[in-house]
Amino acid sequence: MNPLYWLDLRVRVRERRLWIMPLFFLLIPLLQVVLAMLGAYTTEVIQPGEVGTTVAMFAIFTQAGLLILLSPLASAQRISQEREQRTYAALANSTMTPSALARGKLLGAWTFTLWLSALTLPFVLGAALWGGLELWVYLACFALNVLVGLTLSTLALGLSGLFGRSLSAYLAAGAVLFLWCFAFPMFGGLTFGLLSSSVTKSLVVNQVIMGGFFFHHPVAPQIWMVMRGSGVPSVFQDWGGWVPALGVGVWLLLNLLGYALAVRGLRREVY
Amino acid sequence: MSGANTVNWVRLEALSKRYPNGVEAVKELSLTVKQGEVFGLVGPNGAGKSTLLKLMAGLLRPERGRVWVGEDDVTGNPQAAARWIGLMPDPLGVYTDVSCREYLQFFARVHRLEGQRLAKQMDQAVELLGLAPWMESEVESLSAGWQRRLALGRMLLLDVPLLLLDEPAAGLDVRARAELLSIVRRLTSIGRTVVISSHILPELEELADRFGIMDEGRWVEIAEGKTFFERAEIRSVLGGHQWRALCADPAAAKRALEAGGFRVVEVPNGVEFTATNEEAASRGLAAVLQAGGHVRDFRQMSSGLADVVLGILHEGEAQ
Repeated sequence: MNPLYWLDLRVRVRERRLWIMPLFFLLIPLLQVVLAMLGAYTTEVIQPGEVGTTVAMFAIFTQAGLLILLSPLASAQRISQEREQRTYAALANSTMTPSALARGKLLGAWTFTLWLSALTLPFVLGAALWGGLELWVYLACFALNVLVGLTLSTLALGLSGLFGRSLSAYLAAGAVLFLWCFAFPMFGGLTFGLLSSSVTKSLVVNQVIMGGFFFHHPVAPQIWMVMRGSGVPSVFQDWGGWVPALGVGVWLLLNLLGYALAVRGLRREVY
Repeated sequence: MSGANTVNWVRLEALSKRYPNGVEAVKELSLTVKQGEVFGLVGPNGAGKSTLLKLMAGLLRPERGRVWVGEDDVTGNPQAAARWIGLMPDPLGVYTDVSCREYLQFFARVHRLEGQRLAKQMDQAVELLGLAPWMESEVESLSAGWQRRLALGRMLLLDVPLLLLDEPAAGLDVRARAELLSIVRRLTSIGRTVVISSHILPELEELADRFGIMDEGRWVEIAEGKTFFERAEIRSVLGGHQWRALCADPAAAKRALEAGGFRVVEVPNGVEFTATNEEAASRGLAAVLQAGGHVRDFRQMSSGLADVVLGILHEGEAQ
């Protein structure tokens, strides 16, 4: 086992307040039940048959949101903290290569994301038992949520290698998150609006704008899956299976970028 | 260590290091350290001591120059350097959320130390450092002195032959400092080569075979420890030995000594004066007895490395 991963596991296991997070997550199934009851009550707005779909979407996108927010937060200090706490000099004064150190850090970050995914699994399973979508949609969306959590975790790890201070790394991770989750779709929407009367009639232009700003979004493939699973017609549905393929492809590239940045950060001199 | 050059085991060849902010911390420094030697690095803050140690450990990449350990070029290569060199940096950072045993086990894993060899070296390190009562305690609960011992334990565990200790006694109280330095003494007795930078100069004076006095990234002086203080120019820097006499009337004693041509300062309940040799000191004592009345105590003050370093640095500035 990678020694840094071994150390990370030891430290996490010793964390005395680790039980607070699962406790906090118990609120989510509670909200799920309230939502279902409200949905069943207001049958004029949501048909009884759609309650299951509503609960499913709530479960899937709540899980995605938690993983998107918390995974990078837990990773954005992993390398910079070594420099801040002055432990990096002792670590660098070893026979471990920067890439081995980065792998140890990455495994620690990914384990946290997987642990978070496991914590959020019950309310996705609950939604699946409720029904509303086909089972493969739940499974695919869960896998995609985990993958996006891992991607953001790796990206934040890379940023923590790039910056000497954890605060800078947190801010950079926040900026990347904002850019990816909000600024890109906003800019894409504006572009559509500006070009609506002329060139967006062309399928190629549409594809470029959608591909450039939307399809790699952290929840775009999940939206595609849910729309397909629920039979709701959407622009995603029309464009076939390459939408999630593009999204996942971009995520994998971002994983590589994050890892490369982490290795580069660990190669830096120790002042 | 077969094949290693045991005469000049560690060689620094014209090392220069400039930081990104433009500060040239080390300028064309060369040095050789013999196997088993204790080399003391002294100098004011910002002299470049820590930079030099990090260059030796490969943690910094020099603009010019090379670092050799035996036949290995370890310049800017921490993985290659780590086979030979253990660095205790300053400020010292340790993982605080684990027990001492886990801390040592972690570094053993980092260096792929396992099985019987790990058990043997762990036992040796724990025994030498007296860590046994603390092995299951969290590192966070240890005092600064014990955390430094633990950091030394990391290096002992790995059995590296060259230890670079950057201000190992910084921030420690007198007792912890004495204990730590006694451990360093034991390490040297079992054949470790040690390069130690310290502001606690009296201890270094006792410990080091040679001194390198640094200022502004250069050597001001590299000298053999034993012969260093006997040299005429060092004595002249100090201006002779200081003597202290505690007497009934310090003011009168001071006047009498000044009349006799001594440099003298009044201290609480007595005077301190400079005498170039014992005969002059006797004349001074006679003057104190005559003018200052009853002498309760008379002794030579030790002229330590601190005085020498300050003297040399002042002399350098004056030139």
